[in-house]
Amino acid sequence: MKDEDKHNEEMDKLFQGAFAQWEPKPEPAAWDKMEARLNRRRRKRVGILISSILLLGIVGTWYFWPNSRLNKENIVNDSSSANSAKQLNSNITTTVNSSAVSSVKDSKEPVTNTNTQVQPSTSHTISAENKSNTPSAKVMSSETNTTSSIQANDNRTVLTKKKKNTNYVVVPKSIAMNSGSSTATGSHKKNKTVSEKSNAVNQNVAGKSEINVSETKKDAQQSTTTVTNNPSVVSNSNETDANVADNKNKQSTTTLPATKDTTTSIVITAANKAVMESSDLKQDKKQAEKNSNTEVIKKDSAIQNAYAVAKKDSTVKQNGEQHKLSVSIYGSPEIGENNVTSTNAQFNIQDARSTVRISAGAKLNIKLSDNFELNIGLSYSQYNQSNKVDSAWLVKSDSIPYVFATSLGNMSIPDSSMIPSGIIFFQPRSKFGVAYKYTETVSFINMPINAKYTFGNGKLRPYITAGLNLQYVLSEKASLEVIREYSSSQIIDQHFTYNSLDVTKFNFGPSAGAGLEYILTDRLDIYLEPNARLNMLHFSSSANSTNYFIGCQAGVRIGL
Amino acid sequence: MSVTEAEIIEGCRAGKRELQKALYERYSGKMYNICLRYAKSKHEAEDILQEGFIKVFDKIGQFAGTGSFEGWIRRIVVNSALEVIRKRKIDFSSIDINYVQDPHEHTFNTISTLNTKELLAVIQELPDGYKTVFNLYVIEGYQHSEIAEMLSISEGTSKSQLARARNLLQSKLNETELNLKKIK
Repeated sequence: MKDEDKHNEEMDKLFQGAFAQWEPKPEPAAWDKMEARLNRRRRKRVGILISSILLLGIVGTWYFWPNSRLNKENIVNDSSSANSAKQLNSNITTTVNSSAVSSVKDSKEPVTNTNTQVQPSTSHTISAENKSNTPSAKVMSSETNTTSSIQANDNRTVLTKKKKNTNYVVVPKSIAMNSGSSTATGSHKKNKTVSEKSNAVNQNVAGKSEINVSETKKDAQQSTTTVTNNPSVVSNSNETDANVADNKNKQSTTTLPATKDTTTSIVITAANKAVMESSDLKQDKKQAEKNSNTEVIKKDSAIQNAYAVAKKDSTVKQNGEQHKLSVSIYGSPEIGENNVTSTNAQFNIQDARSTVRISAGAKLNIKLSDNFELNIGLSYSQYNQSNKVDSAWLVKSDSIPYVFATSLGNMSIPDSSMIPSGIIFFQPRSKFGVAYKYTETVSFINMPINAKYTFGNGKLRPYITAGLNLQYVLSEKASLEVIREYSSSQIIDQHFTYNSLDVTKFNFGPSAGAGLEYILTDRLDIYLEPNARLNMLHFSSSANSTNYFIGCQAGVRIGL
Repeated sequence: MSVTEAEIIEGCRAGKRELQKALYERYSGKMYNICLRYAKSKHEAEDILQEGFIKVFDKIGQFAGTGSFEGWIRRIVVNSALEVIRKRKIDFSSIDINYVQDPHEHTFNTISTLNTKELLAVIQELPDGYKTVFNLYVIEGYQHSEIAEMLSISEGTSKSQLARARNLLQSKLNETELNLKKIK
């Protein structure tokens, strides 16, 4: 044993001494390869950073996107009246006594009609409702070519107006009420101030001032509308004696009829915002009706019809893609290309043929405007490519093992497998022939983040998309079947499988597509979208490969 | 103009490419030595070297500066080599049938006069398990307990692998020297 220990010690010293100061130089190109890899990693980090920022931005945009831009209905909801009034606090202060509730909505369309002339760059519509006396009022307006209407469920007063580029009109609906209710609706011009006070009686319009109202002059108490700061108020009333638009830079008041039981005081202050411009308040009622786009409907059925029409008009635009949020589910036949272009390995497996695979996914669509939306998705994809070569010649090399360069990295085959003992290469033959079949399959998960622009408003709508695709490799598998033929009598099969190759797990790159969508119902549409995406990083750090995918999504979208 | 080790470390921490290259040039020879001993081929050794230096650049911020910088790099490169070997799924319990020999058959000849490249070729021919334990114990100087932890094996396995590696090396050295004598 002592001899053995001694010998072991001597042998250890032999190897330790031999390798202690030995500094073999790697190939000069080794640093270049490493630098290229470091650069790729830097780009990858930048890509991740950009993707993260983009994702954060999208989520933030989605979360904080103002409702006013997305809610095209402009339906004043009674339940949100108080909050709405608060929102206008800096511009408009509305006070409604006798438990009236105020509702305020903004719109940016100028309003013009015969009796009421409001020409603001920004107009505000204020609706006040006296709930104590049961009537309720709803104000609806929409943008261009739409219908605006005001509905009082109890007092059956509806103002309907149709005009291009028109929002709706100043309607103090309380005037029309028989008793116990007061509702005021006003439009204001930017940079103007309007205030209405029922207790400040400057001009008594009660019994005379009927603004779009055909009922109820009796029992009305006084309410005052005070217009300051260069106001112009045009009432739809046909019988008012009040000239609300008296003098510029003066205070003018309009007395509106109020209920017997309650005193309604409405103070509207639109600091630097509101104005009312009146034209002729003494117009003849018939003349006004002739010229006016406003009609008053008294019957319940008419009210309901008008409401229904107005609602339909505003919701028609919300078909399919008009929903703020929608979800798409899709499948896509897809083909991926990933070819080795250059490598330092002994043998390149090139010209592999890709096969079509089916990918599937879902995406969330966030509508930003009529034509623009953001799509964020998640999909599972796979690609497969294979290659079969009947005769390839490998050089008998001193460098072992034999390395096959694939698009997933290098596959090393031990020398003992390729050249079994007993095989002797006689000169001049320094090569040996093999037949091989190579197959690689990669599955991955994608996260596409795309912007989408839709053309037209018909049922069939073309669109284009472009954005960024993030890709993460879930699994990779490559197999190589080698048939070695050394002589006619000796054929040896070898089968090698590699489950963990040098694959770039995270990848990213641009994606683009163009498609057609067909609107089926309000909430449902189908689409077909050929698209392509390119990966910026090589699929494998050791293989210079160009990696792109082409597919055709067929999907269905459901509005939320 | 020579750059000091401190400057290289600082530059690498800042991600400066020229100083990363300086670090690579300074230590690549020594580290390539390690890689060649663990790898099966030059190609694999270069892959390990690349992987090792990428990790060095990534983790250089973690280098405390208290110990030897070269030793720190060496440990990273050795670990990179072990990762590659682990991917090959070495079965330490198996013994390659081609290499099973009775150690008592060996006659302990005088120690080989082979040069470093020839010794490297002998090491590279060893099965992965033998080669790994031999390198870790004999060249790198790790203890069996450390090797056992690094390779997730028992100390006994480490010792037996080393004994077999030595026997096999001796056998190969004798064989190689015999062949060389015949040629001469």
